[in-house]
Amino acid sequence: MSSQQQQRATISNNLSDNITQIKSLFQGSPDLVIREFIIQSIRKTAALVYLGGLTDKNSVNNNVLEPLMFQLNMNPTVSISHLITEDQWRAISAAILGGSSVLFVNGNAEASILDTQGWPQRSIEDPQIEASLKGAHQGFVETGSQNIALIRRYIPSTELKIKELRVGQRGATTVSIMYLGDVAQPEILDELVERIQKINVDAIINAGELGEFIEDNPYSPFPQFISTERPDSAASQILQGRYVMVVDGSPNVLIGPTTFVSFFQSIDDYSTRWLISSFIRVTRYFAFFIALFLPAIYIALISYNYVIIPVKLIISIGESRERVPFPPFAEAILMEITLEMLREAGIRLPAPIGQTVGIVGGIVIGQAAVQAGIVSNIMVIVVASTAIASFIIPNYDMGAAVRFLRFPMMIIASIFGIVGIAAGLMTLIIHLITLKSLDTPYGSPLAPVRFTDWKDTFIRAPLWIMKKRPVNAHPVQLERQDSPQPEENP
Amino acid sequence: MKYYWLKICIIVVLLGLLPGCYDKMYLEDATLILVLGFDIEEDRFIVYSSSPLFNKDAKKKTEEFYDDKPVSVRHSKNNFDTMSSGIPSAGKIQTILIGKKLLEHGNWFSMLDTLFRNAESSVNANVAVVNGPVSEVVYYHADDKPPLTLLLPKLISSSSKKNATLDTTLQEFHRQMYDQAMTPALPMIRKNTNLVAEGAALLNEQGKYVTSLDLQETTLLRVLQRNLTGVGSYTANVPESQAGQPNPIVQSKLSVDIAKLSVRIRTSYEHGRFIFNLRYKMKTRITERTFPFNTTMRKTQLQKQLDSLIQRDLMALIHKIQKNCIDPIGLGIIAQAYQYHAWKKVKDHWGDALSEADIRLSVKTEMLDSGVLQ
Repeated sequence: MSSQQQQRATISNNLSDNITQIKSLFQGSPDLVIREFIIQSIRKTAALVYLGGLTDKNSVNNNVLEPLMFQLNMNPTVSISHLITEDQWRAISAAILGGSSVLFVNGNAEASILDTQGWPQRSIEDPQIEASLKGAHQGFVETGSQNIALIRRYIPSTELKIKELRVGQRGATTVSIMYLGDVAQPEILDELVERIQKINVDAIINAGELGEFIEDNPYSPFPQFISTERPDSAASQILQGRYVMVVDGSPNVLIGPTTFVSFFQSIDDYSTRWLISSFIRVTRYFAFFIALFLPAIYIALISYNYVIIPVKLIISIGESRERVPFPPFAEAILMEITLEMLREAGIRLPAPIGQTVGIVGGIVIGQAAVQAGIVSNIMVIVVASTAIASFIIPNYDMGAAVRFLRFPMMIIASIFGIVGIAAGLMTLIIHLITLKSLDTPYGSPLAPVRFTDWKDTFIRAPLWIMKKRPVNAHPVQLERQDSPQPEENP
Repeated sequence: MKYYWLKICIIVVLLGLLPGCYDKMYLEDATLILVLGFDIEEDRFIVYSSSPLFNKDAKKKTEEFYDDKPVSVRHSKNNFDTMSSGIPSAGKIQTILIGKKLLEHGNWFSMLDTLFRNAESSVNANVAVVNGPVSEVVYYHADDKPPLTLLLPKLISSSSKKNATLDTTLQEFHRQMYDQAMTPALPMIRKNTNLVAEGAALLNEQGKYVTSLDLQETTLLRVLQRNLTGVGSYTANVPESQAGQPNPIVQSKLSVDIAKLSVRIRTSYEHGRFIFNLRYKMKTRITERTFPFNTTMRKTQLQKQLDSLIQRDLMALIHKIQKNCIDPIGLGIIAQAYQYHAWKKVKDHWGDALSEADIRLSVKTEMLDSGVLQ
């Protein structure tokens, strides 16, 4: 933009001057449409300017061009819901780039910006990554305004505030921070806005990029914002007093501030019976440790501490290990890397070929590998359990962190055995409790201990017991509800 | 963040210096000694070991070694190293077999010192006495049985669960040896055609073999020790006069399960003698009765009869123990607790003191049911 600095900041009242100006502004944009015509009723030449791909052709033809060109009454009207007049070139070009069409009338020193956006859009579909069991089957799409609308549907309240920011020199991506005005902590908002305003990039394409610029601990493997594609999940987080960042153009929204345990909560937990979802939640924490430590424990046990394995198991492990030519660490690394490759290969493949990967993968990490004498039976079970366990974690980012951390754990286990695993676990815990998310403790409610939040940590207590919002986000209004316990029939 | 990578580099370098990996040994390279045996053959101390063989193709799943010129038990571990394909590891010892001949020599216990001194060796191993040469048991191999390394612990623990023998771990044995108030008792096995558990062997304070108990006596010993796991089964011959009509073919037998046991022991010291007053209360279930008897009508009579039968057998066992000047029951512990001054005087020869003690015993049974019949 800077290279083509306008000679004038405002438009002139001469139509042909304006058209020349527009043409020079949009040099090299063959999709720019300049439709010159005569407004019949006032007999003035006019020009409608828009970008072909970004506008709704029907709207332009029926609601703008037709009335102006053919209506003969003195005050021709365009039937467009949103109309503003503007004389600044900067605003006009931004409007054209945003998909509006701009009407220049000869003799008028103001142009009308008509809301005729209509770019290619995806319809609202089931969320792809976070499949929904009991929640809504609507996922976010790539249009920010639609995503905001999806969240608003859940919270039809004037207290649902939106703070709009633009990020990026070229992209000028709209980032809308949504929050409950009377609940969310304003200091966190100030911090968030400050961090977003510091970003100086070309454009933010996806929500994840935004997260990387504003997170507290860039060197940590752990995600510091929840990224979700489910509006019900986002709405529930807003109600807990958190901030949701909707990035225009990204089908994911970012939620902050977060805690470690919030990555183990799924929105479906709250619509399942509390006993069952508590059980599932405990399973998730268990799976977290399995996914993180099982290969490391295998290595430690086989290399150093086999004395703690029961005798019968030790004999069967020994028999299957005896044929394997590699040390346990090499064996485990080999299998885990195969697993990770398999998973990565499967993610980006179209569904029909994806099945092939599954079948081929089944051969590689399966009985064939054992029969070939490359790995032991137990190792196959370890790898399979790890894979299953890492799929249980409901959040992709946290699952990925666990997948990554498994490897340092394996290395330390191969050098120091069980002691190494203990040291690894301690390091991990130390790291987790040092982390912060938007200046709030990441380890809450475990460290610092916040007992009121434990109702929704390892178990999911009945909803009528959870009368307060999570303390971690420092909500201004802590009280969440005051529903009575349902009366039991005698 | 400026020194972040520097810190990581320093940590990695320091970690590399740690001697963490010196005891690294892969499982498949280890020869796990699961059975360790000590015996005397032709006046020579011999150490045996049996280890599982991690090889699918091998027909025999265990390998055995013996060392007939051991400098010490610890030294023979090194000798095994030269014989076995892997590195011997004492961390998983399941059973320690001790030959009866070795026990008869006495003062052999110090040979086991290395097992207690090394942190890696297992003190959870079962200790058992072999009635006969240990080599017979260690080299025992049957195609229709699991390998010896698995068979032995199973044999001992399953029969011990039924109170037919004892379950003495190496640590417990160590305690029994060092506790002046009691003497050790070990399970005993022998090889007939198969391996069989044979009750218990009783040792004196020096660890010398004194006498042995059969299966029934072992159950009763556990009753006396107040160490009954689950139910104890007891079978007695019923004198015919009391059993109603005599039966020429079937002997009159009464079997009961002792389901619950409560004991009160009173001890006193009078005129240079310890007096023990043992009162046993048992809840029993009849599991077998091979003579006709009207249990419903004459339940009390049967109970009384059972009382006297059990009392007779317990007293016989106590006399046997007193005669041999040992105390596997642990009465000394009670004496030590309640009559410390008197006990202190005799603590170096508690077995002799117990043999002179006056032990009175009363048994009271309560019949819970007489089975689903009738």
